[in-house]
Amino acid sequence: MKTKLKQEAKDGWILLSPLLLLTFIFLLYPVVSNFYFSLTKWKGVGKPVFIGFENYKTLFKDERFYRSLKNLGVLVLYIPLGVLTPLVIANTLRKGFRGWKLYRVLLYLPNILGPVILGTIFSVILSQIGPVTDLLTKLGVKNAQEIYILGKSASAINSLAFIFVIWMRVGFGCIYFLSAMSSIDASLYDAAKIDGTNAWQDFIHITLPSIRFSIEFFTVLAFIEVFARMYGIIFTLTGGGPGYATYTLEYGVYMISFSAYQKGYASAWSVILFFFCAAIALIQIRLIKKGENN
Amino acid sequence: MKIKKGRILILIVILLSVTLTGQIFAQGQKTQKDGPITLTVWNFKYAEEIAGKAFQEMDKLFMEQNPGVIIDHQAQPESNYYQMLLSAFSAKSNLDVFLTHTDQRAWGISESFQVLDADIADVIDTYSATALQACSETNSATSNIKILPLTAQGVGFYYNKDNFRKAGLDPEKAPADWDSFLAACTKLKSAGIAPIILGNQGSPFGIDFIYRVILGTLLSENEIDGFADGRTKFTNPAFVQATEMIKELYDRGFVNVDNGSLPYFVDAIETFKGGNGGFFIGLTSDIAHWKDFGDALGYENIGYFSSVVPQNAKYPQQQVNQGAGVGFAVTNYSPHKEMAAKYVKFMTSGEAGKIFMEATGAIVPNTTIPLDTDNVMLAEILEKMNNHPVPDFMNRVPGGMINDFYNFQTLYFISKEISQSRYIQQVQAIYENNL
Repeated sequence: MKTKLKQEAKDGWILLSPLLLLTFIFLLYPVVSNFYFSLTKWKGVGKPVFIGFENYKTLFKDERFYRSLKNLGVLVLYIPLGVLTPLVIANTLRKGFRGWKLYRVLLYLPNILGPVILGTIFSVILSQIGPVTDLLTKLGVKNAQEIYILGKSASAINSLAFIFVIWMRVGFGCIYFLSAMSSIDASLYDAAKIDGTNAWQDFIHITLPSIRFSIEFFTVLAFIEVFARMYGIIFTLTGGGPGYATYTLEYGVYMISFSAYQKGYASAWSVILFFFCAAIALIQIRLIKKGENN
Repeated sequence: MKIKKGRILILIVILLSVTLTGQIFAQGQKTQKDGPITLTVWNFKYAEEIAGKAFQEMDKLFMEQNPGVIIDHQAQPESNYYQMLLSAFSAKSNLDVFLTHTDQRAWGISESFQVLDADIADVIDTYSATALQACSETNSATSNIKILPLTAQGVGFYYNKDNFRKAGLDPEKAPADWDSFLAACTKLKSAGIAPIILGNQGSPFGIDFIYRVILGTLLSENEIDGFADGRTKFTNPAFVQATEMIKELYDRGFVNVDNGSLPYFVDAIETFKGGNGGFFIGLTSDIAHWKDFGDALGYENIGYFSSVVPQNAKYPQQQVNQGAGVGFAVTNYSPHKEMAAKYVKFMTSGEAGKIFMEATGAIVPNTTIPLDTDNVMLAEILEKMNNHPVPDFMNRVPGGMINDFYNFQTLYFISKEISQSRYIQQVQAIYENNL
C-alpha cells in the first residue's frame, strides 16, 4: 500500500513537471530576475552593472512615481461606480424586457473591441476636431475647440477613468452579475413579494447579499485592471499626458524601459508594481477562501 | 505494469517534443547555410505608399544584381519602432538590416549596430561628410560609422505665396526677422488665413520643429552639442527666449486652434498642402518638403526660409541640418554581415538612391546621385544645407527625455496649465533624469 502511494506521488510529480517547468520559466524566473535587474544599470542590451539600491533611491525622488500614485488614486476612486453601474444594469436586465438581448450585445461591445481600439476611437471622439467638439459648437458653445478634453490634466484623467474603469467594464460586469443573479433562488423573491417589498428592497436585501462574493471578486478584478492592464488605452488615448496627468506605474515601466532604455530603473518600478499587485492578489485569495467557507 | 507503461509514454512524448524542436531549429539553420541568403530588413517607412514602392523597386534591382540573395523587407510601425528594435536586439532575433534615424533613439541602442568603416572604405568619399558625421557614433566623418545615410534632413519654414498675396504681403519677400514674421502673421490673420499651421497631436512636432530652428540661430554648434552631456541646460537664455517666442505665437492667436488635435504626420501636412495657412514648419527630406508642397501647390507658389530670426540671433543664416535624417544599419550579430553591408551601400547610393530620391523628393547625400538643381527652391535649400549647416539640438538630447518633453510642451503651450518658469524647470528636470 505504502509503495503504491509513493509510486503515485512520483507519477504526480512527473505529470506536473512540464507545468512546473513552464511556471518556472515564464513566471518565477522573470519575477526573480526582475528583482536582480532592479539593482543594476542596464539598457536591455549589453551587460548589466550592479549598482545596489540606487534605482530605488532615484525612484523615491522621481516626480513621475508620485504622479503615478496620485493618478492611480483617482482611477481607484472610480471603481465603486464601475462596480455599481453594471450591477444596477444587470439587476434591471435580470427581469428581462423587450429587446434586452440587443442591449446585452451593445453593452458587451466595448469588451470585444479592447483597450487599444477604444483608446484610438476616443482620441478622435474627444479631440478638438471630433464629434464632441462639433456637437458643442452646434449647441452654441463658443470656442468649443479650446475645451480640448484630452489636453487638460483634470479632464484627461477623468475621461480615462470614465472610459476604462466604468464604460469599458460595463459589458463584462453585466454578464458576470447576471450569471451570479441567475443562481439566486427565485423563491426568495416570491416570499419577499408576499411580504410586500418593492424592487429597491429586493435589490438591497436579497440580490446584494446573495451575490456578495461575486461583487467582491469583480471589485478585486477592477483593481488589478487599473494597476496592471491600462497601458494599451493610455498609450493610444493620451500618451501619459498632458504632462504626467495620465501617467501610471505600469505606463512608467514601459516608457522608462523601452523609450528611455533604462531597463534597470524600470525594473525597480516593476518591483513596486509587483508589490501592489501581490497585495491585491492576496486579498483576492482571501476572498475566494471566504467564499468557499460560506 | 500499467504505471510503467504510462511513464514510458510520458518519456516518449517528452523525447519526441525535444527532437521535433531540435529538428525545426536545425531546419532553419540548414536553409540559411545551404540555400539562398535571406536578408531580413526592418523599415518604418515601408508601409508608406510612395516610399514603400520605391523600396520595392530598389530591392528588386539589388536581387537582380545579386542572384542568390532574397530581401525580406518588413514594414514596421514607426510609433514604437525603437522599442521593437531593442527587443529584437535583446533576443538577437532574425534581423540583418534596419532603417533608423540618426538621433539619440538610435545611439541609445547602438551597441548592436555593426561598424561599417571597412565595408565603405572604397566609397566613403561619395557620401557627404556632414551626413557621415551624423552616422558616426563619435561624430566623425571617417570612423565609427554605424549607419549609411539615405536622406539629408533639415528643418525650415515653407510659406504659401498665394495666401501671402491674398493678405497683401509680398510673396517674393520671406520674413527676414522676428518682427517682420509677426507682422506677416498679423496680416494673414486679418485676411482670415490661419498664419501658422501646426500639428501637435500625439507628438507635438509643430512646436518641436520651431524650437529646433530658433535654437539653431541662437546657439553655437558647440553649445548645441552640449545638450548631449548636460553642458548646455534647458534653463539657458536661448531656450527661454525660444519658449517665449513660441508662446507669443500662441498668445496672439497665430497658430491654428485645432493644432492640439491635428497630428503633424500627416494631417497638418495635408492641411497646408490643401492651400490652408500662411506658414508651415517643414522638413527638407522624407515628407513635408519642397517636392511634397511644390507638387501640391505649384513650385511657383511655395517659398522657403530656414528660420524665424530673433533680433539678437548670433547665427541668423543657419540652417538646421541633421546631416542625415534616416539611414540603413546592420546588426552586429547578423550571420550575413558582408552581404548586409553590400545591401546598405547599394540602397544609399547610385541607381537605388536615385530611385528613392526621384520617388520621394528626399535629398540623398551621396555624390553618385545627381540633384535637380534647376529647381529654384531645392537649390536654395541645398545652398543653405551645404553652406550654413547647424546641428539639430533634438539630435543631441537624450532619447529617453523626448516623450516627457513633448508631454510638457503640450501642457504649457496647448493646455496652458503651467507657468513658463515651471515648464522650464520641469524640462530641465526631465533632461537631468535622462542624462
